[in-house]
Amino acid sequence: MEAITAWWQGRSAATQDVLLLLLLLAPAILAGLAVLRGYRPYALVGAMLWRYRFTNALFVALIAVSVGIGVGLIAQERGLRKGTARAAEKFDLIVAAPGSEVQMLLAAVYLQPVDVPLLDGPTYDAIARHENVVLAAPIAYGDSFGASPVIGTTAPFVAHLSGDLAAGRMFAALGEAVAGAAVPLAIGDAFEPAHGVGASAEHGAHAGHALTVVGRMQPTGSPWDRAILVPVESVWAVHGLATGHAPGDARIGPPFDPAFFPGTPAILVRAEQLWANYALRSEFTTERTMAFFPGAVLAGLHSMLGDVRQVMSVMAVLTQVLVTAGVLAGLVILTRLYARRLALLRAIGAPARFVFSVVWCYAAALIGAGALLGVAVGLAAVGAISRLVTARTDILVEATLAWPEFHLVAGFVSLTVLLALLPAFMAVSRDITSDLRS
Amino acid sequence: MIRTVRAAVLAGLLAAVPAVAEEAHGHADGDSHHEAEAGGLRAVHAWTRATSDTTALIFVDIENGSDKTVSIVGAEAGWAETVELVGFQLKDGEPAWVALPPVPVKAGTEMVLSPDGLALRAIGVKQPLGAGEERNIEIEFDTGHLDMVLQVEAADARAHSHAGHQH
Repeated sequence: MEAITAWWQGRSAATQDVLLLLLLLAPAILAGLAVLRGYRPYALVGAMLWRYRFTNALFVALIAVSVGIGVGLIAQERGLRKGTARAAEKFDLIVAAPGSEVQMLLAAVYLQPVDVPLLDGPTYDAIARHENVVLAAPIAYGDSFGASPVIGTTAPFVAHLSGDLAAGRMFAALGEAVAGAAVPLAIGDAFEPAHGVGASAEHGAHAGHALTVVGRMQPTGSPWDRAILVPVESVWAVHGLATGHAPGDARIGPPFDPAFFPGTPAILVRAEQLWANYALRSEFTTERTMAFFPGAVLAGLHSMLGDVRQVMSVMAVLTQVLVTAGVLAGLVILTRLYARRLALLRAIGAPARFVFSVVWCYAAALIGAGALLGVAVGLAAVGAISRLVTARTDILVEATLAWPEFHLVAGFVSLTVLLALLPAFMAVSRDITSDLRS
Repeated sequence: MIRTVRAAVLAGLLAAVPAVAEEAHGHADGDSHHEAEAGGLRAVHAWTRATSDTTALIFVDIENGSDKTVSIVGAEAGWAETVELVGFQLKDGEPAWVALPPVPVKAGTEMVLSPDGLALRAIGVKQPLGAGEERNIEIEFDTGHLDMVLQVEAADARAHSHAGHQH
């Protein structure tokens, strides 16, 4: 057993997936080989399928919907998990005031603002000057324009998030802004931010502080696509605060003067090396600061949601078991439809095993067609739901079918075609005489 | 060999740091072996998850109470072929572990090795790890080793069963 385990663990993930698929399909294939050995009932089965085509189509549709729901649920959960993780990938380490890591994750990465104490100038300065820090960007939220949050930050952060801009140029002055890929503003458009976000945002609170869009970011697949990024000095200035620089200094961007740094709810910290991020996290976890990895917090949430994932998988299997039971009951009824014809077959000398193979092959054809169509249904459903989720959350969800779904379908097909042996047995155990008289 | 080196390193640390080095067993009722301490360096609550796999992640809280930066290098355990320092990453939404060079722990700070973070990865685990069992481990620093007992928690555990206690 240990040798088998060791051999299995030595295979690549792709090989394991292929082998598992074949293992799951093996019962169906072996059953087929055993039942059909020596017979070719395909023409007769084709005729049976055509004779009651609408009833058969209904059965196939029932199986397809069941399989489609199962694979769709699993694929959608994985797509959402990957989408949320991709959205957080650019956020190596976040430093904020001590509090809830989950809240700050939602605020700084997914732009769901929360009220938190601000980090002061000396704290920012200590982080920005650290030998292992290559990027320390304030993330100052709180204002908005329409559905777009206005985020104060620095040009290096915009470059980190977007890479090269899709159009225009980087902001270079207080009144300039770079729009996310999904912001409904064109380059050259001017707007006045509202104070706050959502329905209760105070429009006109920042009158006279118009911002002009000078650039547009590349799509990031995250809520930052609908954000408008401005120099953090601009956010401070419209709130009547110091601009992070000594009076008379019109520069924007780092370095900031700690004495004139009004504060920021969060700082994105980036190091060149992964090990340095861990050292930084240890160093910046103090009584006054909280440092956390958004990816780790997200993984923790995913881990807790693992139970939900298991429930979804159980639901998918349960749905399929229920449909299997329904299909089997239906097959028993369907074979009664053919009872007279099957009795005639046997009366003219067809062996019972041939009749058995006809009924089983007929059932297997319905199940196989339903499962294949179910994969297509699942694929279509996953595409539609992904687009809906992306539109609602701004998190790019790209759910596609993968090995776990094909394993589920293979398991379903094997289980169902094995159970289809039952109606085949029942069909051949019927009394020929009474079936011929019926 | 390791123990000889450790003894030599600890002797050096003792000379440099006036604190008394000890494999700490500081529970009031004398039953705790969840911590180890030497030269101001303290490791608490080493744990792993029950598994029959040949790899296992090990987590522990490390406090550097000394006056100098100490780097965590890795660990050694008789029940595994090697133990290396690894860091957690989400790659395309899937968890991944990357081997790391020594990670410094500055004086007066704490380094928490935890799920979805920094961890020690035991490779070539010789026997399945059962929940409730204990294993010995030597956590390796650039200044020496700390011997301590590793608690095997449930397969889905997210923390040491004594997490939140100060021992």
